[in-house]
Amino acid sequence: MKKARINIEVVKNDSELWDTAIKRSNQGTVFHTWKWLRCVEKQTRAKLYPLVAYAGEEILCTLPIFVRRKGLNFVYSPPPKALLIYMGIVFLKEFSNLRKFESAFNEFLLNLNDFLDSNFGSCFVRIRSSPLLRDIRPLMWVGYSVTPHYTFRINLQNDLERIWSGFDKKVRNNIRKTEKDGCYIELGSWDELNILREMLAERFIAQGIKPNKDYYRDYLLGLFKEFYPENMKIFAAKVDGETIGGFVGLTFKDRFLLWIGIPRVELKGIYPNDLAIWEGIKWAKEKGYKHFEIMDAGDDARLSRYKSQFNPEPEIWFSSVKLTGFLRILNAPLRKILR
Amino acid sequence: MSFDLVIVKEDEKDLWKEIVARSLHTHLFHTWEWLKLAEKYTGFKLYPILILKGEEPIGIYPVFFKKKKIFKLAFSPPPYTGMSYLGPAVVGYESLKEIKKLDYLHNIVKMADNFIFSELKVSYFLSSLSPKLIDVRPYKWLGYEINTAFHYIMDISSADEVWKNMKKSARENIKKGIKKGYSFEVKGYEDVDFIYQVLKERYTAQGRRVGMKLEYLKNVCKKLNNNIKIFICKKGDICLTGIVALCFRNKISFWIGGAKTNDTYSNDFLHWKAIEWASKNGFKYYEEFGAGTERLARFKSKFNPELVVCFSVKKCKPHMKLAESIYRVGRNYLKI
Repeated sequence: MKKARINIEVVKNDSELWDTAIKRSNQGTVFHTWKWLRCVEKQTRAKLYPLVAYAGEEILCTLPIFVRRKGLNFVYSPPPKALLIYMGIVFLKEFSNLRKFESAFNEFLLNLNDFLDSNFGSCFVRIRSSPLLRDIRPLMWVGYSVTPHYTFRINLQNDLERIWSGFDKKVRNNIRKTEKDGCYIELGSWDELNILREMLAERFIAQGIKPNKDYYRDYLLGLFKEFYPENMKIFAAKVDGETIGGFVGLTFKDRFLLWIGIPRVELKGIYPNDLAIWEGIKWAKEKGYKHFEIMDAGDDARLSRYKSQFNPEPEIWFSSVKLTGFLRILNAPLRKILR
Repeated sequence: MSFDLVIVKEDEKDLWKEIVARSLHTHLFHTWEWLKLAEKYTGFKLYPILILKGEEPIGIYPVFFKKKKIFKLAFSPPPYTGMSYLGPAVVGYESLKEIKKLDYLHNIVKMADNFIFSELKVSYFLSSLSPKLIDVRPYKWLGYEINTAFHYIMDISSADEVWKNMKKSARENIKKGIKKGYSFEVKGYEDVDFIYQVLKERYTAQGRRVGMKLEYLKNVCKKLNNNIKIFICKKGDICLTGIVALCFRNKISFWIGGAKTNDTYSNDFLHWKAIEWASKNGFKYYEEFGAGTERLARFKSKFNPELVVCFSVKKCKPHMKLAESIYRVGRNYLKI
C-alpha cells in the first residue's frame, strides 16, 4: 500500500479544529488547548505556530511550537518560563502496531525538518513530549538527543483505602495531626491562587533566587480567567480563614494534574500541603478521574522525596533537542549541554 | 539505620544467589557463575558489591574493574561479554513503597559510586541497567550522563496470537521455510560453535570483528546449561542458522545468533519455531535485545513486540571524555 503524503499546515484561527483534535487524541493535555497556548504566547512573547500534520485528508498529529528570535531562532514546545514541563507532539491517528506508528512518526519528523528549515533556517529545537508519548525512537533516528525526565502518577482506580495505606506513615500522621489542629481545605478562587503565587515567589527569594517580576501574575490571571472553574481547581489549605498552603489543580479528560503550588511551609507541626494533596486525591477520585498526576518528579531530590511519600509511580517523559541547518555541526560537541 | 557496602567473597556466593532470586532487576547475567566467567575471560576484576541496611541485604551491584595503562576503568557489564545489561538489583523492589524504592536505590547507587570513584579511583564508569529499573533519578543527582536504549518484549502465552499479529511477510517467509523442508532442532551447548562461526563470517563481511571469545561463549553455555538453549534451523543435514537463547524465570531472551543468511526464510522460520517451542514449554515472555537502531528495530519488530525502554549511565573524568571521543573517531572513521 502506498503511504499517504504528509503535509504540515499552520492553523490560523481555527480554535475549534485545534481543540477538537486535542480532545480526540488520548495524548492531548490541557496545555495543548488553544486558549492555554495563546496565554503561553502572551506570557513568553514567543510566537505560536500551531502545526497540524495531515496524512492525506486525515489529521496525523499536532505540534504547537513557539518561536523566539534572539539572533538565533529558538523553537520550543513548550517554551521556557511558562511553568510547563512538557507539551510536544500529539498523535490523533491510532496505529495497530509499532511499525506503522514509527513509519508515520518518522515521515512527520522529516517533514517537520523541512518546515523548520524553510521557515526559520538554522535553529535550536527542543520538544518536551508528554508521558503519553512512549516511543520516542523516531526522534532519536532523525538526530534529536533525548533525555529522560519524570513525573508522578497515582492510579485513582485503586480504592481509597489502598491509596491511603500506600502513603508513608509519616504523611498519614501529618495529615491527621494537621486536620486535628484546625487546618481545612477549601476550593478557592483567584485570591487563594494569588496567595499561593506570592508564597512561591517568597520561597524563591528565601533560596536566594530572584523570581521574575510579579512572578507570573498576569499569566496566571489570564489562565484563571480562561480555565476557572471548569478545568482549574484551587485547593487552598486554611487556618481560621487564612491560606497557608495548597495547590492549583488542572482537570482534563481522565487526568487530574497537581500543577503548581505546595510551597514550603515553615509552621511547626502543621502540614497544610500534605492535607491538600490528600483532599485533592479524594476529590479527584470522587469526580471520576482515573489518574492523579503530581507534576515533576525531576531534578530536585528534596522535592522528589517529598512527593514520593504519597506513593505515586514515576512516569517517564522525554526532552528531545537538536540543532538544525549550519548549527548541525555543533550537535555532537554540545550534546550534553543542550538537553 | 545506616547503609553499608561489603564485597561478597567466594564462600558467600549463596547469599548472592539468594539476592539474585529475590530481585526483579536481575537476569541470568547477574548469576555468580556468569559473573565469574566474565571476570576470567575479560581480565577485569569483579567486585560483587552488596549493600546492607543494618544487617539486612537490600541490593547488589556487580562492578568490573581494570587498570589499562594510565586509565582506571569500571563497567557493569564489562565489554565483549554479550551481557546486554547488568547494573544494580534491589531486593523485593516491586513490593516496596515509592519512598523506600527511591531511598534504597539512591543509597545503593550512592555507595557504589563512592566505592568506584573514591576507593577504586576510577576515571570512567559505564553501566547498562535492567529494563525493569526505569528510575534513573539517583544517577542524575550524582551527575551521571544518561543514555536511552530500547529492547523488545512479546507476550508469547498464546503462540496463535503471536502468529496472528506478526507481519504478513514474516508469516509468508515461515510458510516458505516449511515448504522448503526446513527443520528446527533444540541442541546442546556443543553446537554453539556453529552459531559463533556464522556470526564471525557475517561480521568479517561487514569489516567488523566479534569481540566475544569463542572459549568464553562455550563456557557460558556449558556452565549455565540448564538456562541456555541452542536453536538450529537445518535443511537436511545442513545447518542454516542458529540462535542462543537465555531462559530465566518466565522469560526467554534471544541472545546471539540469527545472523543474516543467503536465503530470506531461515531466520524468520527459526525465530517463529523458537517462540512456538518457548510458548509450549511454559515461557510467558520473549525478549529481544537492542531495538534502538533504526534498521535492526524495523527488522526485529516483524513479530509485533512491545517496546521496553532502558538506560545506560556513564560518569567519567574530563580527560576520559577526551579519550573516549578519540576512541570513537578511531573506531568509526579510521576503523582502528
